[in-house]
Amino acid sequence: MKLMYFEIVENCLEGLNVYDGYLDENINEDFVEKISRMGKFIFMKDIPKPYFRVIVRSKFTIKGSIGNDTIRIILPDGASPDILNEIKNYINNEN
Amino acid sequence: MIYLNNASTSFPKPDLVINEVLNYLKNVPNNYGRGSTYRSDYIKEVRDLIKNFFNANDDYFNIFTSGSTESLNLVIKGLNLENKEVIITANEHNSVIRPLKYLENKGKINLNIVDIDTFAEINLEHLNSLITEKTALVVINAISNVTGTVQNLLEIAKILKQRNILLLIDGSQLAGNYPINLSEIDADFFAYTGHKSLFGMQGIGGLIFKKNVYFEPLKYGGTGFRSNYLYQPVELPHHYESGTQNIPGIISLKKGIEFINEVGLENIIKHKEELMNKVINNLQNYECVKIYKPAKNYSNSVLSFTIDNITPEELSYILKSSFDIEVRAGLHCCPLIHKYLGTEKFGTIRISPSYFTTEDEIDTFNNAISKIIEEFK
Repeated sequence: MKLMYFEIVENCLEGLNVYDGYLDENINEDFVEKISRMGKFIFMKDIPKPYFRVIVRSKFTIKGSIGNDTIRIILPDGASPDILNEIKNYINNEN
Repeated sequence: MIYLNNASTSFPKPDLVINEVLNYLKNVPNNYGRGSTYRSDYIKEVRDLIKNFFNANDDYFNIFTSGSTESLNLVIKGLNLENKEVIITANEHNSVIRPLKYLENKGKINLNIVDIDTFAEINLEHLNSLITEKTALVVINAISNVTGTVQNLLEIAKILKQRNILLLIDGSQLAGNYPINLSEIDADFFAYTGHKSLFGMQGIGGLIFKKNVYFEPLKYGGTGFRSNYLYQPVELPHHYESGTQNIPGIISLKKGIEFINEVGLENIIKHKEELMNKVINNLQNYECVKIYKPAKNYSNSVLSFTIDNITPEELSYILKSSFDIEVRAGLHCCPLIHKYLGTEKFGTIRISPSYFTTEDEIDTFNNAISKIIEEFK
C-alpha cells in the first residue's frame, strides 16, 4: 500500500498543521499493524470500521479507519512539514 | 451517511427547493432590471413572505444579502458608531465579534461583553450595568449555536428601548427553528441566513430592518435601476442591493419557507424535540458525558456535549471515519462562550438534526456513541 499525496485540512481545533494522506488502496489490518509500530497505539476493533490512532510524542499523530483510503496526520503547531516525507517513506517502504 | 450538522448548513434540502432552483437554471434568467424577462413582483413577493414569516410589520423592510455574516457586517459597519459603545454577549459568533473587534482596534468604538451563565443565558443585570449614555448598539444571538439556549428577546428589548439603544438580533440559528415576532419585540435589525434551517442555498440570506433607522450601504454599484444617476440610489432595496441579485438563492429561500409553512414550524420543532430527547436520554446513562443545555428556554436545534478522555475532535473523527456520521466538533466559531461552559480548550461535540432526520438515524447515532464510550473505558 502506498501513500500517494497529502492535502492540508483546515479545521477548528486540531491546529494549523493537519493533513489528510491519500492512499492507493483502502486501509487493511496489515497497514494498521505497520502503523502500530511507530509509537503509542490504540485500536478500536469492534466497530463498523475499526479505528486506530498512533502517537509519536512531540512529532505527530496518525489516525484512520480500516476500509477508508485516507489517514489523518496531525503535526504540532510550528512543526516542519518535512516530517510528512518521513511518514511517507515509512509507509511506502516494503518492510 | 447520517448527517447531524444542520446548524452548519442543512442537508438534505426539500425536493420543492431543488426542483424550483433547477427549473430556474434551465430557463431564461430573471435578471432584475437587466433584461426584458424580469419579474420584480416575484422578488417583492419573496421579501414579503420572509417578513411575514418573522412577523415583521410594515415598519420593516427586508433586503437580501449573502447571509448572516454580510447582514451583521452591514449593520455594524453601516451605523455611525464612532466614539460610541457597543455591547455584545459572550454567545456571539465571530461574524459579530470580528467586525466589532476591527472597529475597536481602529479606536472607533468601545466594546463591552455581557456575561452569560453556564447554560448561556444572558445575565440581564450585567447587561443593565454595562449600559451608559454612549451605548448605541446591542447585538444578541437569539439562539446559541453551541447550547441551543433561547434568549428572552422581549425582556432585553424592553431594557434597550427605555434607553433608545438599537437592537441587532443575530437570527442565524433561530430562523426555521423557532418562532419570532419582530414587531412585538420591536427589534431594529434582524439578520438571517437561508442555508441553515430555512432550507435555502448557501449564499443567500438577508436583513430585516426598521425603515426609520439609517445605516450606510456596504456595497455601491449597479442596481438595474436609475442607471443614469451617478450616485447610489436612496430608494429601497436599491440602496443596499448593488450587483446582480442571487435569484437562484432567493428562489431557494422562498421554497424553503413555503416548505416550512406547509409542514408547520410547530411540527418541525416537535420532531426535533423528540429526536433530541432520544439523544439526551442515551447520553444521560453515562457519567463520563457532560451535556451543555439549559433546563428551560432550550430550542432543541443543537445539542453540545463532551465525553471524558475523548476530545470532541477525535470523537467527531471516529464518528465520521468509522460510522459515517457527520457532526461538528470544536468552538463552533463562537470563542467567548466556552469560558463559561468550561470547554475553552477543546470545545464541544455538537449535533444538529433536521426535520428530515429519522428516529432510526438517531438510534444509530446513539449506538455509535455508546460503543465509543465502551471502547474508551
